[in-house]
Amino acid sequence: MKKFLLISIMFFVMCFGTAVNNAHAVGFVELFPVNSPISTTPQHYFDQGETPYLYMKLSIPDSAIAATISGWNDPDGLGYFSDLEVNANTERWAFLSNWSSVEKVGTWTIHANYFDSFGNNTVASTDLNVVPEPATMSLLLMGGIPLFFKRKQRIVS
Amino acid sequence: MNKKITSTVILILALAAFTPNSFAAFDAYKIVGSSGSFDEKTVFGFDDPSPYLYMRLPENGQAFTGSFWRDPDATIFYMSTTGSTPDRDRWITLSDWDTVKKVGGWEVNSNYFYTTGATGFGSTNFTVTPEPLAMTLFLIGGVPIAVNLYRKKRLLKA
Repeated sequence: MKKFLLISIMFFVMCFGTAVNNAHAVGFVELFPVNSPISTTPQHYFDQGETPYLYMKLSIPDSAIAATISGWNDPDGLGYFSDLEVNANTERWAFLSNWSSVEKVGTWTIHANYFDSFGNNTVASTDLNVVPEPATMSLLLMGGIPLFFKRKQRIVS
Repeated sequence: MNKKITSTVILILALAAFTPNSFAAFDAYKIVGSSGSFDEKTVFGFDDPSPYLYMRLPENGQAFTGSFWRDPDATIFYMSTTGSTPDRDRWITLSDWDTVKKVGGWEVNSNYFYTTGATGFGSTNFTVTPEPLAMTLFLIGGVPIAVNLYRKKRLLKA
């Protein structure tokens, strides 16, 4: 009997919690990096020289306007802001206008902020990886292999 | 005994899982009379200089702050931002205050956002009252009308 009561209470708490969460489902519906300002296909790996965009699908209350901005943190922990966007659009693409001068190989963490005229304020996060471009990798190998062999020869002799 | 502890832990975890995320608030958040002021002012005359929102952020670092100003009709929102600066103390106003100002109660909702993802929210109100001259004119015009209405009512009763 006690078990049944406990399970019932837990079930009620979970249902209530879900209902509350759904009732306040305002803000980010989807958030991920893409490779163009019209794409909705997630892409988490980018070559050097390729510009990543942050795709945001939003749920905005009726008659509200929403402001979105994102903080892009590079592999060394330096942060950059994207441009602020304020309107009622439910699909948005953000990017760093100075990407070409700040891009770095490694993992970038992106935090996006949603703030609307009704006072709803939420944050969602995603990440992307910048990998060295093939040409850089080839040059690295071309320079690295002879060095490796030379070192090996030295050790043998 | 063990069962009780396990049940309590499960209940607490279930509750924690469904509690909405909470964010840190501003260290200070109020309406003041001018940029640089720390003195709260919640009532403004119609012809007073524009109200400023003073915010003190909880930590140092590059942060964006934005605010929505809701007019007394509760239908129009005006956006004002400070952009990204490292200042913890910030003052913002509506740049077009003189063209959008209205008599009544205003609500100002704001947030801050750091590149680290830290964010917070604040809300406050202020009131814009009619200028004294307008009030005087209103009384000059309104009193005779009220007296007239009163007279008419008395005559009808008689």
